[in-house]
Amino acid sequence: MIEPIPSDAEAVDRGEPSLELRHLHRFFGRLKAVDDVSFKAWPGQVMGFIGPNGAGKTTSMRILATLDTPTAGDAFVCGYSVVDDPDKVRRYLGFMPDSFGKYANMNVVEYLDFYARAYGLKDAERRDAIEHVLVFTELRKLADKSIDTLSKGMSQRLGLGRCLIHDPQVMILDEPAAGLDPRARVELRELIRLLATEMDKTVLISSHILTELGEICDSAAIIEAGQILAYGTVDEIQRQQASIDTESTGRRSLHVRIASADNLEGSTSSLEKWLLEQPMVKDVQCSTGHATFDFEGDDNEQHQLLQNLMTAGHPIIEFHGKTQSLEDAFMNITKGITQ
Amino acid sequence: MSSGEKFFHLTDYVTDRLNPILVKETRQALKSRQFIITFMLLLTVAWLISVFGTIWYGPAIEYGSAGRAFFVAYYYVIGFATLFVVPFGSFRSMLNERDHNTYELLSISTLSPRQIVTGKLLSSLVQVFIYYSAIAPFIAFTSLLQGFDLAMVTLFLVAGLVWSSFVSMIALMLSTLSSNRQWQAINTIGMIGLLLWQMSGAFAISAAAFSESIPFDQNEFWWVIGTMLVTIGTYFLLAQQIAVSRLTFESDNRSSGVRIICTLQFWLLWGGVWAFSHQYGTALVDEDTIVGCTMVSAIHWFITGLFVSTEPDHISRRVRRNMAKLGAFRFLVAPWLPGGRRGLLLLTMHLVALTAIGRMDVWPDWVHNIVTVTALYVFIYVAIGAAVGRLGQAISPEFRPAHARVLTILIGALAMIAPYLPAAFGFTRWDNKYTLGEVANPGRTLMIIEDTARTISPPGLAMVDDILTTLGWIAAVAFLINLRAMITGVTEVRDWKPTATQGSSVSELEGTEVAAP
Repeated sequence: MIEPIPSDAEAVDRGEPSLELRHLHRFFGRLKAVDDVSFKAWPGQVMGFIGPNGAGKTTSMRILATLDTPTAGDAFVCGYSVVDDPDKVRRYLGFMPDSFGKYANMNVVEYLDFYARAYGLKDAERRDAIEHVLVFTELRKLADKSIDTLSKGMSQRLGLGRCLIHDPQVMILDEPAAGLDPRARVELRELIRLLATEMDKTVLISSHILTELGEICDSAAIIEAGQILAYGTVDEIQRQQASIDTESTGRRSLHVRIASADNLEGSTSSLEKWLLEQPMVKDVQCSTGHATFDFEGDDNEQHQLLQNLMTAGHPIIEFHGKTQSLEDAFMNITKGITQ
Repeated sequence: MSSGEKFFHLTDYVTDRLNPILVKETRQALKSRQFIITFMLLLTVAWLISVFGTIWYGPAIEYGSAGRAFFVAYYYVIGFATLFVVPFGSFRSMLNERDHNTYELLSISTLSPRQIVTGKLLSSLVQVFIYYSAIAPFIAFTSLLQGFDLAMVTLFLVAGLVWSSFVSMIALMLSTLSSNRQWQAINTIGMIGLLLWQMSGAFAISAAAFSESIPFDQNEFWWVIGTMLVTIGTYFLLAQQIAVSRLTFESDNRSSGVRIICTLQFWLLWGGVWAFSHQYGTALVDEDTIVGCTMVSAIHWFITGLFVSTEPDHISRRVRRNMAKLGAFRFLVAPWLPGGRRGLLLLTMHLVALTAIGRMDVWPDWVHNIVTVTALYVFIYVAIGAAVGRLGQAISPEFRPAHARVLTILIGALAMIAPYLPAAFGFTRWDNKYTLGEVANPGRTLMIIEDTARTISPPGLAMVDDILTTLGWIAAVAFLINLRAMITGVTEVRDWKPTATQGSSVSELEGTEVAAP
């Protein structure tokens, strides 16, 4: 098993975490849905919770949302235990499940109004909260529209608005982008980003669309078969995976870009020819202006290769190790185990 | 500010102080097709009754008792809405929350389970009042006719309202018990059957009552009304508490409320018997009344005991934190705290009380025997269930309280039919003579004790002694098996040291051990 990555985030003093899972376990009979899961998240942080189907994401999120109780361990929201103080946790938490719960015979404002009342907001406070949510989610124009007739994208916005109505510190979003068209996904992504940057909220988000998570998350926890396999900032996970790859294969993947010139095709072809002649260079792949290849040397030999490239007169403007995307990291870390 | 705006602000101010569920459900209900159809149907049928009734009576409408006949017809019309449509709406209301994935959103709001249940019930009541207001002009019309009796009309309308609230509460409680979606279709059909049954029963009782004059001036009538109200009221509270417990978060106290209400019901029953005998003398409270009340108490405690004595014994940190600080007080209230061990103690205490009441000198020996034997049976079967539950949980964490309950029922059923199996399979001849081998069967044993008392046969009396001795020994063994558990149940709450009182924040729980899964 790949050891969880010690997070830089934890090394830096960021005050009290607003979200913490501490040795969380949830067993259903013999099935270990969540098996000793621990991680933390701080205000202003968007944390991706990534894992294949049945990995334990939703179970962990439901425990955090006080919809389920752990078999052992505990989780804390703004310092309050989800087991001991679910009432207090609920004041600080907004949860958006993967399915949008709709009421019949109700319009957008009535829906928000009900949840505002359910969270104890009264008078002007309630009206202001509804107005704020309508503006933030850009649902003002649809205020009188029946929620039965909303599109999937608008429903997700309304779901997000419902989570926000009582201005919680922590938001847990379970697959919020599932089933959305590309435009709605981008818009929702922007809203989520704003929650962390503008409103300083902690967002824990699960999604299968890893490219998207990579763009909005500061940190991530990768879970499989109920166990956390990697946890840290997205950069940390990607770097860690790249170095694990290098250690295990003895190769490092490098990328070179050359400057645009009159004869870019020719320059690329010349670079490819030169690279193929180098003893430690393998699997060269070239496209116009770019070359990617595996290098079997150490840092000194890599330095020497760069010097040789320059000496050979190739117009190099970029030379770096190829970084792993979150998707690559996910594929490397997980093994496709299903429970 | 215009008068429209003033009105808007006023309604906003008022609704802010109301239960949010009530506001939401009323909004939804008034827009729902079901409400509109029922309302229009009610008005149409009531109007048709008025028109055709008037035509049918002709000039005779000015004489006789047309007022009562019209009221009866309107009462059945409103009865369908309030005793069937409204309770069914209550039942569906909670199921719809689950079907539409809104229940979870509701449960993680700051609304308490009690607010959710109360809000749903109040919205049913609002609908009942709307239906009543719709029928009110028609009842006002009957007041102009001969035979209209204001006292009777008031009594029946109030009774209808009380019964509708009660049935709605029961429907709501049953809907919280049904969380498995696969069973919902069957549950819904069962609910429709139950509602039709109670509605036809209520109509039949009403029909009988309509043909009689109501004895408002007799004390006994008010005793009956009072008893019915107390019974309905306490079962209403019990149903409400069960619904609340079902919706309460797992780590919270789901049990004490139910235990307190069950205790209250037991003492109200016997308090009522005492009050009645105090007012009218023991002549009116005969042996059959005592035996009847004993049977009611036995069934009551068997069901309650089976549930409370098979609960998991673990008391969550949350429940512990809310317990009284004084050890002696915790010791006294231990039987009402969650946990099977304490549940069995609660049952034992009340069975001892029942036996003490039933063995008072004012009753004959056969009543003493019936009460003692009944209490022993309840104790034996529930104590077996409690022991099975603890054993099952010790063997496997997958063994649930429901398994213990089902197993107890099965053990009981097997014990009851086992003595008859040899005869059933033709190994022996069935001669209908009671033997001690049938002691596991409470029905037959109690019948034998009663028959012996009526025939006063010496051989029968000896058998009764044998029955008492046998059951006494079995109960003693069952008691000894459970004694340690009951003592632990009390001492663990008495000896618990309260620490965290301001909430279990991270810092308070720092360093606490993570329980082994």
